[in-house]
Amino acid sequence: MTIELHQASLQLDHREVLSGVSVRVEAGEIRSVIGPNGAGKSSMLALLSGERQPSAGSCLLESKPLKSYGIEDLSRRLAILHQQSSLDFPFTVDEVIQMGRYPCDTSDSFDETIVSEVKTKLDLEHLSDRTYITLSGGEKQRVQLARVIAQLWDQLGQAVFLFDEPTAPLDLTHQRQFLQLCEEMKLAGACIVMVMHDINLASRYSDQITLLRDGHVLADAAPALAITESLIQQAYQIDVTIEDLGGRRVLVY
Amino acid sequence: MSRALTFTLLSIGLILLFLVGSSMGAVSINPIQLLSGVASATDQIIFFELRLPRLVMNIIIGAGVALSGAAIQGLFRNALADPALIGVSSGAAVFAAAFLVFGVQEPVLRLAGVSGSAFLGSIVATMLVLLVAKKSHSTSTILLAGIAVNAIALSAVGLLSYLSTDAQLRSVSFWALGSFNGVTWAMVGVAALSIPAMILIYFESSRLNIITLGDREATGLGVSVRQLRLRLIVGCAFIVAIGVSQVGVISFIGLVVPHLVRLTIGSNHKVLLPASAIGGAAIMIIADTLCRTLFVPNELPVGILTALVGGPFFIYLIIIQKNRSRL
Repeated sequence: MTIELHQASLQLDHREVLSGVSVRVEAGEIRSVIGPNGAGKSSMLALLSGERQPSAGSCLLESKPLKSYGIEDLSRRLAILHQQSSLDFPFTVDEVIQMGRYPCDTSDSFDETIVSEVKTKLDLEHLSDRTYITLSGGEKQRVQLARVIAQLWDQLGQAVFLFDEPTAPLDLTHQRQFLQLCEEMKLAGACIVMVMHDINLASRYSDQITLLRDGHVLADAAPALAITESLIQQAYQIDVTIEDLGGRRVLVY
Repeated sequence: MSRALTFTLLSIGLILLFLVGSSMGAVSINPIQLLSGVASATDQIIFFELRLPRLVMNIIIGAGVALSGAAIQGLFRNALADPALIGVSSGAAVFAAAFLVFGVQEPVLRLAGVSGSAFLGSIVATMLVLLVAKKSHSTSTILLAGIAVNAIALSAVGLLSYLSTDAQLRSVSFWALGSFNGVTWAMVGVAALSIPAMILIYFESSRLNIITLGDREATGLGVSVRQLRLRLIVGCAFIVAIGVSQVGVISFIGLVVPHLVRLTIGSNHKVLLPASAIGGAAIMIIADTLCRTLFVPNELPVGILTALVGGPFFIYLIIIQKNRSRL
């Protein structure tokens, strides 16, 4: 699957939150979208998921306009994790993850296998029977991630994942675990777009970085080209230096 | 508690309550004697023409109200939501009051009778709520529209009460309290029309589960939120409207029963909806049997009892739940 925005703009309340954004994410690619608060990162995901229609330009999935897909059709190709979930009812962890399998016409036993595989990948087995609302913020996030990943786990070669700040509430171990899982899914052909705040984490695990500021694309390139002192200074208005730590470029501020 | 066990216990409880309820009353009847044919003719008439339709009505109404409550709470993602939120009860109250005050002169209402008027009012109020919220994508707009329609309806009832005579006022308030007194098989037949709607709502269980994740999440999983919302609101309005038209407003069962069931067996609507229906039926039998038997030969309107017991119990539930989530 490939997903792309072509000269896409988005207006909300008479304000242009994205102007002429063009990006193309290939199958087998991890793309991080970074930028300061209000730069238009979540709006970009809203366009890519079809939740909002661009006011100008277009959004294409497999070179076909996104809006030509019905929502059921789309849910079998694209899975999205929003920033916060409003789930406030006592479901068990297993029940929540199973909801991700709703769009798929697969058997219950097949779905159970998928749920347990995804749980293993995200270190959730020991929480299976716990009630979702009693979990900590990071645990809840992992459950929601598992739900979103379970949605397309059996067809990673035909999958687009959109994650809005997936690692924000996670501890170091689970951040790494999740990003390694993304690499694994990428190798299986998944197309992954995520909004990130941790620039070092983003540059380490992404193939491409899209740097946004005020609804414009400042950079759209491999991490080494997108994460430079001058571009980061321009985007965030702070002084930064980039240092080489044993072959790994690290942003220091 | 495991699900199978919960269902077994609930069903056994319902059957026992049915037997106890059918034997209790101003005249005690032994159901076993009755079935073996040794009961007197009077007992048979009391049982088959008075008590049995009333118990069946208890079951249909209790199940309907509790199931609608569970569905509405899921739809609004709020365990404190109630079918009254979508305007059903207040709409019914306005039209029923209008019938009781003006009904005899007004040709349409006169044809509909108090039940028909109440049903009409429920549907009109719900349509009004949906119309106000039509353009909106958010569930909270429907909540606000419901609150507004309820407020308008309440003031309309107030105005009608102001215009009414003492006798009319008494029948309006009595109707608003809800009662199973004088239920006939014909009324049970009308109430049974709500059963298909209950079954249709049960078929929405997996989508109800998904909508608790959030509207955006549900859309992402391929569920059309607006269509689901419309189906659920119309279905619940129909169930509650039919109930209100036959026995008046029964408060708190739709709120308390699903809440209680959720605390014991969780939120999966595939289990929650049927368990709430059984639980609602059981509690309705208990409440109505108490109303029939506490002050023989007088009867307490059942809506008073459900609100009197349900209200404090609900406060208790809120308090223990608060403590639990703090842990």
